[in-house]
Amino acid sequence: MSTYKVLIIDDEKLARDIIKSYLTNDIETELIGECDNGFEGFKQINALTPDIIFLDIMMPKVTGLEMLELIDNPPVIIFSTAYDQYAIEAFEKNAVDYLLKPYSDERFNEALNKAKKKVGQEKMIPENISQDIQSANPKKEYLSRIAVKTGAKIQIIPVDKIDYLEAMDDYVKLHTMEGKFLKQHTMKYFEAHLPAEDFVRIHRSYIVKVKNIHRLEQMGKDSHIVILNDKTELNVSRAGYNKLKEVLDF
Amino acid sequence: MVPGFWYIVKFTSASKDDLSLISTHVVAATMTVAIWVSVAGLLLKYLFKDQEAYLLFFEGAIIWRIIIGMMYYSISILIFYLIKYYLNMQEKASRELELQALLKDAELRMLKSQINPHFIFNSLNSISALTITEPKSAQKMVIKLSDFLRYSLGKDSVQRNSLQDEIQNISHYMDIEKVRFGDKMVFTKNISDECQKVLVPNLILQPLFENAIKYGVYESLETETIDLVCQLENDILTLNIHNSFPADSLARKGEGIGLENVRKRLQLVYGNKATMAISKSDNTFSITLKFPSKIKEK
Repeated sequence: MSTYKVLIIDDEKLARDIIKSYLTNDIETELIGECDNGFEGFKQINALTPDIIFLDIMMPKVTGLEMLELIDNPPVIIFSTAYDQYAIEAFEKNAVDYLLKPYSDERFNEALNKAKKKVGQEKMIPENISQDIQSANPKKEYLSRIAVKTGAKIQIIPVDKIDYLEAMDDYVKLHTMEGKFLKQHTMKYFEAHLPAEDFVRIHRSYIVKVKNIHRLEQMGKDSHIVILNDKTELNVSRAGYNKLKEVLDF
Repeated sequence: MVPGFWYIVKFTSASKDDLSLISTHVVAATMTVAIWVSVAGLLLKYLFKDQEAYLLFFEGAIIWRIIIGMMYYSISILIFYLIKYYLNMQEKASRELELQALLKDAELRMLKSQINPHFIFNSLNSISALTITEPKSAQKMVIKLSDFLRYSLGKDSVQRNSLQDEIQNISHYMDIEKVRFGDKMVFTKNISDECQKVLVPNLILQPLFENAIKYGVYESLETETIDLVCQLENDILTLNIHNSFPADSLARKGEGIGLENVRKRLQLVYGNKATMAISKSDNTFSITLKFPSKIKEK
C-alpha cells in the first residue's frame, strides 16, 4: 500500500486545521506540510513534490489559481474555497474536485478518494479542450494582474504596467517598465483577456497598450509602424491598422 | 395680484426669522390694500360719476373697503400657505422614500455582496473547525455571528442607532475576523464617552470596516492594523477609521461601491452638513466622517 503525500495551502489556520483533522482518519495519506500563502505554496510544491494538494483560492498577493499557472508539473489538486464562481476555471486547470467551505468529512473523503485514484495515472494534458472551454466561457472579466515566474519566485505584474506583449513560440513576452517577463500562454488568450479599450492586437506578434503609442508612421504603400514612447518600433498589420483606426478614432 | 401673493409666500419662507416674515406681510398687505382701494375707488367714481348719493356712500365706506381688502389678502395668503405646506409634505415624503430605498439597497447589498457571502461561509468553516478542537470557542463564535447577522439584517424600520450599538456590532464583526486571521489583524478603538449615545445612520460604519479588512488583512502576509477613533466636539461627531495595508498591493481604483454608498447616505441624511474625507499614503488608508450629532427632524 502506497502512501500519498499531501500538502495544504490555505491562508486561514482554522481552515488548515479542519483538513488536518479530516486527514487523521485516513491511514493512506501523510501530511508533508502546510503553507499559508501562494508564494510559500509554490516553493513547497517544487521542494516537496506532494501527490495531492488542498488549495484555497483567495489568498493574499497570489491566488491559488495564479500560483497553479506557474507550476510545471502540478500535483493532483483539490480546491477548498468559499467561492463558487471559480469552479469552471478550477476544472479547466484539471482539479479533481472543488470543495465548498464548509464541507463534511463524507464530502471530504469523496474528494480525497477521487484524488488518490488519479495519482499515478498518466496525466492527460487537454490543452486544446481547455482553450475551447475558455472561449466558451461567457463571463467577460478582464485581467488586472498577471503572475509570472522569475527563477524560483513568483512575481505579480499589474496589467497597467505592461507596455506591450510580444509572441515568442509557446510563450508571450511581457514588456514592462520593470523589465521583460515570459508567460506561458497564447496571444489569443491575452487578446481576449486584457481590457479591450487599453490594449490592441496590432500584429500577429504584438499587442500594444494604446496609451503607450507615441505615433503611427506609414512605411510602404500598405504598411505601418507604431513608435512607442520609449522609441521602440513595432510593425502593424493591415488588420491591426484598422483596429487602431477604430480605437484611436482617426 | 394673486401671483404676487404666491411669490411673497414662497419668498418669505426662505428667510427664517419670524419678525421679517411678519413685517414682509404687513408691508405687502398695506401695499396691496392701498392699490386695491385706490384702483377700485377711481373705477367706481368713474362708473358712478352721475349718482350723487352713491358717491356720498362711497366716501363713508372707504374704511370697510380697506377691511375687506385686508380679508382678501389674508384669505389668499392662508390658502397659499396651505398649498405650500402640502407641497412640502409631499417633498418630504418622497425624500423619505428615497432614503428608505437607499437603505434597503444597502441592506440588500450587504446580504448579497458586501457582507460578502464568503465572509459568512469562511466564518462557518472556522466554526466547523473549532467544533472539533475547541467546542467552547465554536459556540462563542456562533453566538457572535448570530448577533452580527441579527443586527445587520433586522433593521428594517430603524434608520438610526446609537453609536454605541453600531460599534458593538462592528466589534462582533471584528471578533469574528479575528478568529479567522488571528495575529494578522490588530483592532483598536478609542471612543470618547459623550459619543456613545449619539444617533448615527445605521450600518454606516460596516462598509468602511469591510473595506479596511479587504484591502488590509485579506491582502497581506504581515500584521495589519485597524484603528477607530470617535470624538464629539461642538455637536459635530468625528469618526476616523485608519488602517494599514501592504505597500506593494495593487493601486486601488476609485472609491468603490461601499464608500460611495456611505457618501450618498450621509448626503441624504445630513445634506451638506456632513463630510467624508479620505487620505492615503503608501501603506495607510484613513477615512474621516464628520456630521452633526443632533439632527433636526424636518
